[in-house]
Amino acid sequence: MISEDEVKKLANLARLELDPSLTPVVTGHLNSILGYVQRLNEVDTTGVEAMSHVQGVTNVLREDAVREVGSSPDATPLGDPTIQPQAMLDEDALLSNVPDHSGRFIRVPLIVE
Amino acid sequence: MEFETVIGLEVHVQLSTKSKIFCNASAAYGGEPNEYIDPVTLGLPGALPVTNRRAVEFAIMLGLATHCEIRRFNRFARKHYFYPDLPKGYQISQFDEPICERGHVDFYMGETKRTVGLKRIHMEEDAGKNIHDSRTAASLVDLNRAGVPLLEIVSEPEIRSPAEAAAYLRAVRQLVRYLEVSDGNMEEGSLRCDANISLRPVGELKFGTRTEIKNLNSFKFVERALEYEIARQYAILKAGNQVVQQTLLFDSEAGTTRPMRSKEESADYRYFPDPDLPPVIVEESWVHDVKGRLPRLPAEWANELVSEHGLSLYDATVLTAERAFVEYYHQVVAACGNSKAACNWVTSEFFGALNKAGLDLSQTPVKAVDLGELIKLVDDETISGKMAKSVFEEMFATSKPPSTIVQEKGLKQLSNDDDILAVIRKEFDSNPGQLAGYLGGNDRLHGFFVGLVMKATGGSANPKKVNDLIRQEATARKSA
Amino acid sequence: MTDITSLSVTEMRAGLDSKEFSCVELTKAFLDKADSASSLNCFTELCVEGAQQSAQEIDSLLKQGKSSPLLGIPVGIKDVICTKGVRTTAASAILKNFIPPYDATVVRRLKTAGTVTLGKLNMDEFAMGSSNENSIFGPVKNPWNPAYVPGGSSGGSAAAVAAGLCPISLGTDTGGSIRQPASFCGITGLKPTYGRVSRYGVIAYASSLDQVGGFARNVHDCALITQAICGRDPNDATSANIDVPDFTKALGKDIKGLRVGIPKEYFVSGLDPEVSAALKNAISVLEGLGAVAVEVSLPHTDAAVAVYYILAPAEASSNLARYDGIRYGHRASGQLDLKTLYAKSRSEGFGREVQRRILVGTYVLSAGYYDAFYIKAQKVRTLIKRDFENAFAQHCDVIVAPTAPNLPFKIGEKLSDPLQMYLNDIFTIPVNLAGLPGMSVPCGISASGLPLGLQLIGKPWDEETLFTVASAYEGATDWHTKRPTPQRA
Repeated sequence: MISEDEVKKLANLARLELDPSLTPVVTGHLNSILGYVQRLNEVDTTGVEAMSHVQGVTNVLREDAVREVGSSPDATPLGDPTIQPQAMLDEDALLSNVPDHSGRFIRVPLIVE
Repeated sequence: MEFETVIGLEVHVQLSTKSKIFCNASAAYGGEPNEYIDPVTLGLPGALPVTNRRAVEFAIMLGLATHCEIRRFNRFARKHYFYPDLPKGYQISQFDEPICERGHVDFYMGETKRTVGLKRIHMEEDAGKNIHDSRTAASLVDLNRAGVPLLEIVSEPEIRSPAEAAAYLRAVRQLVRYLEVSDGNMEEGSLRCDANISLRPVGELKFGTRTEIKNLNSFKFVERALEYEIARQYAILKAGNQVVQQTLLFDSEAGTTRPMRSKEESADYRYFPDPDLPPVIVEESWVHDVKGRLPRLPAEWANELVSEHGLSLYDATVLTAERAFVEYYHQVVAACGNSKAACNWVTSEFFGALNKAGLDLSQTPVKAVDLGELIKLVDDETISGKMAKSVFEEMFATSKPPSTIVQEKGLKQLSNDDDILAVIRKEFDSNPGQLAGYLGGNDRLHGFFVGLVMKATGGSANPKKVNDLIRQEATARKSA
Repeated sequence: MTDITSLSVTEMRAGLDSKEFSCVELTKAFLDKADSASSLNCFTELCVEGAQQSAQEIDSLLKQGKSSPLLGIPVGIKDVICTKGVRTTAASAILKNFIPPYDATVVRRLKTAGTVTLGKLNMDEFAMGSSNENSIFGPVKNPWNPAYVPGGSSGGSAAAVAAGLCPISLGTDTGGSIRQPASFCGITGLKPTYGRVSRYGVIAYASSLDQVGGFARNVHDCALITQAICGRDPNDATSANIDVPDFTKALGKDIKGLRVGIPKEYFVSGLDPEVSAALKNAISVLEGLGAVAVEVSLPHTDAAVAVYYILAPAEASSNLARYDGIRYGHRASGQLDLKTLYAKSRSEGFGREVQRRILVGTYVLSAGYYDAFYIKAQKVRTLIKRDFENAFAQHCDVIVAPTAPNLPFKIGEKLSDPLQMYLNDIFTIPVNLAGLPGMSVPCGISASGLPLGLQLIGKPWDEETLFTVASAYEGATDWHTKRPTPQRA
């Protein structure tokens, strides 16, 4: 069983702000889910390997090369079907989505180290 | 009670790949803020990492150079924490399966050989940079560095003094530079160091409570921070109190350490294997291939300099500090065939001149073959050692080969016996009083005649010959 | 004149190539239809201008006599797939205004194939859900009965195709998010083998399970869209370097002697009697076509949902850590310190189900619980994969099963009990855990007038057998021709 205090700690770890009035409900849901998944304890996994990658593909490596801005042009109908390695993005691509910036820097509240 | 210092270093080496470890953005230093960005660097929704082969290869190289075991089955893991310079909210690193394990780094402190064991070397990605501006209560984030490949080298807690810590760090820097996997530039942050330090009563086997000092970015700061921390912990223990385990920052201006506020909360990094990155299998054949391409390492060079070139351990250490030094030295030897003279010239005149001019070896105005030729001119007595020094100065200033300078300045040494004897006879005859004294046994007058001959030849006479021939002529006159 | 929006892709191809209608006309017909069916809430964004512009470009290609299977065919794209310059939200407040600066690889592939993007399709927030009720844009309604859910998480993608708002669409499937809504909406949907389709540009929910796939109104159209998106991508290390066969060649083939596995564990309590009956009918149809039904055992079926609800939230808690309001997306307003800024931005930005899964995922990865939950689940995942390997190695060429254990349910019906909602995916989840291809084709209509789906599960990389079986089944039945009656708003 997970307590409301533990749920608050988890929320803090995950950087979520829990509505205090909802904490008991959330705790209840978490307990029902975590209670349900306990059934795995009944499965014998002695000598079984944990699976992190389902297809068993290995050594998918790329060559060390820089892709400059604009080196992967947009797709066009019936154009070159080759999928190029992704390229660097320009300033606009950065700034169009950044909520707060100062020049080309991304601005955030003061970090205390 | 006496205490023993226990230090372990975690060194981060930024790899000199062209692109980042998991994407095609440039890994160059500098650039406009947020210039080297792409979907992966920004941690955009949907972006996926793909591992840079060269970064893995560099890890294998350093592992081999530090005598590590190379892990066959490698996985990357995600290490989670929230920080503005960490775009994805996790750092891709290796957790319990580092690519290199159980190695060691050897180095000399003076004449004493030291070995520090390595726990592990693992691959990971660097974070971006935060610039803090307390006036505007804001921090500014630049992600150019985010995703640059790093190797984290974790030593065993086998370092016993701040000086040894610095020497170990220098040895690590020397290695990565020999391997050309990193420029090891501490000012630009290509080499960074965190130090774990604790004290324990001498004879005690259990470690004391340690503190960790973060982001030591020069050899000097490593020593100073550790010295300060030893004194601080010593005072606490002497007073019978407990050292608090914490993460510290070194304030280089005040010369003190202080707790890091951002590390006050205990971390739970929630590592798990990164599902986006298939495992990397390092087969024996790959290791073998990399091994075959490893350059000679400083220890090998140094051993050869001592045993085959007859140099002192000190000189060998100086010459092998950088791969470029020892390669230069070998080119000089190849040109002149005199290893000791080459060592003397390279380590004193040449390094001195570079130092004075503030130049790096790569910017040298004096080619190794020219320095070798200069030594040869001395060895075959074409010019004197003293002349050679002025020729060298001229070479350094103009990059001209020594033969040209010797010719231009007419600096040829007077080495012909008959010519020198003619001058000696003339000086003997002109100074009968002193000659009588000299022949009578006043050996101080030998110097007097040497001076006269050198003066009369404008300094071009071979001094050794002058010496010998004055004695020969004196003997001849005595028996006459 | 026939309604051109009701044509199959093949018919549209013929119409475009013979200049019976232009791509601009076809596109306009679909955009108008989407407008008139806005009450279904299928789209999060209609790309009116962009679609018209690409339709014009394509018309000029068609005029030059160019042709290709999908040239000029309108498509809808689940809003979890990044489209350059077109808002992509994952149906979340945290990405409410996010405009990707790049196209997902599947979008690039579709654009190159010559499709026209009509718009972005509604979904459960971050693909977490089985009902499409967890969306910042509100629930999608089932075209067969707007009081019912269309299934999820690709609810918009399925409902739009079922309602004829686009002929084909893209969805994603992490635990059944293509197959279950395909089943609930009476259309065909295929989740390819894990690694068959690039995930690059697809907003990640659970990276080891996510896979993009297509929806269509018939098997042939489904083969065409699947064909267009498959293949190795240098930007996705988990995309496999395996040749992509011509899927249309697998259609119309005989299934005589094909061994069809029926997992006995799928006929346990909780299975709706109508679902069970429809499945039995479907098996008879396949037997009638010469297939041989064999009982197979997938002994760890019962553990699959538990494994999924450990692994998927764990990966999700990690994948969603990037939504912090710093570089893009929603940032909480006001003078806040950094930590509060994170917590407020994320809590304001994520819906309840997403937050719930982040908390579960954070828990199972945290110190002290990792081995008991996460590693244990990964081990059981190995066993689940082995179950399928054994079944395929020894007994059968394809497995058939219900897509969902129950009929489509009413909007709001299961919202209060997350666990009940999760159990809705009991037959689809094992397929994701094993990385296999899975398909849902229509196989019945319930007494209440809602569609039912038959799930086909194949060996890794063997989508062809799924297409063969689905096409044979489709040829022998008319369920795929059933259409919902247009709903009035």
